[in-house]
Amino acid sequence: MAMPAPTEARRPGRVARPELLRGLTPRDEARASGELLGAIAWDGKPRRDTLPAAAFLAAIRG
Amino acid sequence: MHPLPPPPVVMPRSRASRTTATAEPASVDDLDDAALDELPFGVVCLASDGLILRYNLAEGRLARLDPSTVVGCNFFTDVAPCTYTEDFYGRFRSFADGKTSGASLRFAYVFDFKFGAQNVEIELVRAAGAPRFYLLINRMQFLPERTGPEAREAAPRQVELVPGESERGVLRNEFAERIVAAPVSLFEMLGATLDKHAPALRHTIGHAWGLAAGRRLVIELETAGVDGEPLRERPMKDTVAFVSGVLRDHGCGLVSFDLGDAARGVLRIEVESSPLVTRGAKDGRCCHVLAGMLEAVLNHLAGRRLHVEELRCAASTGQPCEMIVVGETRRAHVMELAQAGCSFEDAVAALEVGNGDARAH
Repeated sequence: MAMPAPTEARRPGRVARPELLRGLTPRDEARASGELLGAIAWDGKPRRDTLPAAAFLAAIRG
Repeated sequence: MHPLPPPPVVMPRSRASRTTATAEPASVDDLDDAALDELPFGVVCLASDGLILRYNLAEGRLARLDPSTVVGCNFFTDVAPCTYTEDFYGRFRSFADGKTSGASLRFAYVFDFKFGAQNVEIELVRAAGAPRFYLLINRMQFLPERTGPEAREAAPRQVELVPGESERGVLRNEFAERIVAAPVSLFEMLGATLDKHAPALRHTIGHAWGLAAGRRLVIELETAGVDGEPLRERPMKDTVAFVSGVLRDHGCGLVSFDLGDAARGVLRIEVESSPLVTRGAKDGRCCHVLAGMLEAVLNHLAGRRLHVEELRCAASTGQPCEMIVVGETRRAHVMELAQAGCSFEDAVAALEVGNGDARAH
């Protein structure tokens, strides 16, 4: 997937529409912001859920 | 709980293929039938005259034949007449008669079925010290049924191989797997029976049953007839969407994988309309079978042991069932937390604070 250049809204640590996130739990906020930011996650790297399943599940601890 | 035996070793092929084969093909003869059934590629064991001695679950699903009904038949003339050719049978004959040297032989072929053709890669393996030969069958591509001059005699359908089954009370699904039409209350009765006679074992039995069923489900998922990479190599979001869709179509409810907590080292799974939710479960949790099934699927995807534990059940809360996915070494800790009635957030916090990794068995 082509990676769009980070815009002001997509810059790491920024939320595209913060008013949409008020009142959400941290988990919901992270999820919602991930959806709002499209292919760019908080750290500017591709979203983790586009990783191969085996690589994604390597993050499960224990 | 006794540790479960590890799944049989499977390694990816050097090039992309839908299925995988053992790292050491000759070792396939060492696998028992249960281990053979866990392999996500077809395995057929033949005597030197072509009689089928063993036939694994994946091959049964992909050929849409019940393994129990093909054992004892002749592979080349009864079950797969499209292989009764110089290209296939001729190679087998030469290999079985010792005219072809080496422990194994690989070649590409096209299987003809009445529901479609399949491009396959065959690995013919000689069992060490016994007159047995294994066909390891990797599906490379699923094609429409061939009707032109290149088509060979297609394999019989299950109903043609064993006619009159329905009159004898044998029901089968589209993949020729034998099924039973049963109300979901059958699970409720089983749960109630366990609660009455072996309440301490409800979790253990349910989870182990689910694991076994999940290993079968993995075969179904990996042989679903969709060309492409193995599930573990596909994007996580696509893989879990596919798994959810299959479970939904099986009537297992709506399973949602929440991937947002992976950075915290766990996953959250939510299940709406679980068929296992019953009234009056002793500790309020009913969905251990489903947790075990999901665990087997995730183990397969991860290539290691994980653990899925139900934390909250619709049986006692009316909310969707909630499960947590952790690594195997956190299993005992997370089971304690679940028994204590921890919410998902509390369980994650306890795992982080308590350094759940160190509490491994």
